[in-house]
Amino acid sequence: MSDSPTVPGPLGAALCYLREHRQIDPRVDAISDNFAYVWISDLQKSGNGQAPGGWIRLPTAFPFGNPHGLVTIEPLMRKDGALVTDAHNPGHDMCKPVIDLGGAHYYSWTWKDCPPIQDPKDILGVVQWYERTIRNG
Amino acid sequence: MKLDFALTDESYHTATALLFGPDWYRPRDPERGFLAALYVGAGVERRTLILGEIIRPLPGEVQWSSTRGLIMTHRYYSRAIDHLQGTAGAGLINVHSHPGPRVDSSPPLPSPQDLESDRNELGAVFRALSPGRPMAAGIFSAGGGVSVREYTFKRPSTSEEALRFERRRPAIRFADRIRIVGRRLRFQEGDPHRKGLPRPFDPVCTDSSILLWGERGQRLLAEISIAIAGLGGVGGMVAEYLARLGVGRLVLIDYDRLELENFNRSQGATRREVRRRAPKAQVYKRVTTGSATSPGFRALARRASVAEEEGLRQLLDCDLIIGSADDAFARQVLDHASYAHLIPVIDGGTVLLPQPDSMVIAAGKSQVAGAGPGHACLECQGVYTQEEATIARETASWGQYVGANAMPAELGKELRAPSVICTNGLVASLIVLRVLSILLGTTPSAVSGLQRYYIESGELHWGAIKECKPTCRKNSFLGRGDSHFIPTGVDLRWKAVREAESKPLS
Repeated sequence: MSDSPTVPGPLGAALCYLREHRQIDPRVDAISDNFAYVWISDLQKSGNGQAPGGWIRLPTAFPFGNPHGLVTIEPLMRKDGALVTDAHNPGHDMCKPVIDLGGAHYYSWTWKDCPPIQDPKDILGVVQWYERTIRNG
Repeated sequence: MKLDFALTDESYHTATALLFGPDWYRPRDPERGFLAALYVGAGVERRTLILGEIIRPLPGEVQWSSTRGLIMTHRYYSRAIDHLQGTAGAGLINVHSHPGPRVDSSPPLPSPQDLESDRNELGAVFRALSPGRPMAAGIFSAGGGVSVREYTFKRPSTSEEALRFERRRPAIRFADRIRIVGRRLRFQEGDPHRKGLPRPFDPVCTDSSILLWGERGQRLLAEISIAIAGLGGVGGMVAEYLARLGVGRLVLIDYDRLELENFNRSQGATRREVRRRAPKAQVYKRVTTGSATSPGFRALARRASVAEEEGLRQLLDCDLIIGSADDAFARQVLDHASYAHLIPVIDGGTVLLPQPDSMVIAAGKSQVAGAGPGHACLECQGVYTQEEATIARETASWGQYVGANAMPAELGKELRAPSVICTNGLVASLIVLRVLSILLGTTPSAVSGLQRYYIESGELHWGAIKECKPTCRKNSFLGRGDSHFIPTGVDLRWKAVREAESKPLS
């Protein structure tokens, strides 16, 4: 995390919590306006043999703002091998901040109808929600 | 730079109960005291010291000595330091009572003994805590007077300076004013040495309103500073109403410019100003300066967004904030600022839904809501949701007021929402009535909550929510000042305007 962009206090606290409780090193690869692109190295995919990992878009205001979208290197696949089509935007502008790192596929999932986020510790549930959404395709 | 001391109504009652509770006056034990956390909120022209959580003394931790006066024991100070070390940005204030006569409400003066013990005790606490934390001492008198003095110690940087530390006198500054914030807003003089006269008012120009709230109320209006965030149809009118009512200082914030498209609801603006695309903040500085009734009136115009750090700092100089920017992002920032910095917010706006192919207004709501200490927050009152605030952070499209989700899809594509000057006038009037209620107590039963006017039926209703939801976390940062992270960011609409204006003309 030494060369990562600086993130505001509560988001930084959330990433520390994730580091402790998921035993990973979440890396802030870019901040674009009000959103940070956080690389989660063990983000589980459901597709056959797909390598884990992806950038979750977290608001710099987290936990006072909701996550919005996911950027991946490869297109996501469901368990049955079919492509995840829900809100899939290949080559979308939202990939630009991490395009040099391979970000090519944007999934514009919003936190609508999900439980309220109130605490930096809720980050754990957010990552699990991303994995669940990928699984459900 | 001005210095205020602010506390919530609830903290004020807790403090006075501790200092002047049952059997408060005992000739052999005449003074009482307590320690509390202290936070800072820094604006551009004003710093505010904010009373945080009171650390109640245990039996024997506060004692009276006939030779040394009131003593707060080392054990009590150690306990307080332990508490503060784990709280980001928290400093310490020691507060004690002056028994005196109950009729004297002037700010009490510290005795030489008080100053001596402050220097020793606060100096020791200062060295024990990390840098940048505020230190202060306060006195509450039996008559209701309050004075607070801030201590600035120079942190030793060498071992020689550390040895001399005990002998160095700290800088002392009295808070100019005491601000007590709850459902109502109260002010008291804070500096016992203040020689200046209170700000004057014009008794002829304000004759009709003095008949309602007297000279005391008019003087209070002349002393107050109000920020208006958003100078559209509503904010512009509110600015002029407040200037005419005799408010002494207005901070006018908007990044937008006057255009033909918003001229029809920009009361007081001229075609000449449209032609030169004058910034709205400048337009309303001119309008309010020309219509103000307070002889010492001052208006500050700032081209900024309150959703960004720079705009937010301007608000922290004010006693009350009017939110009239149609944007959930800005509303969320104001909601946080009102609790963290103890500055009440009154938010208002309108949404109008046209019926296609007719002149009928299919639905419309004008609404006003107050938030801040003693009130339910804007989020719990349903004025905005975190989801809406997140969307506003993500897009540069124009915001809507109440019921944004109810907009038909085809209207959602339009750049601007429908708006007419008459509903703006209604909202502006309701906002100013709320200001008077909070400041002067003109309408005690209409001081708090959400008031909504349903345009299609012509009915005005109060919202049912009077308190925050049990899951709401606003109270967890009540009075935390700059220690609380306010979710400011980049206002994408303002960013787009900045970028467009910085491009050279082709």
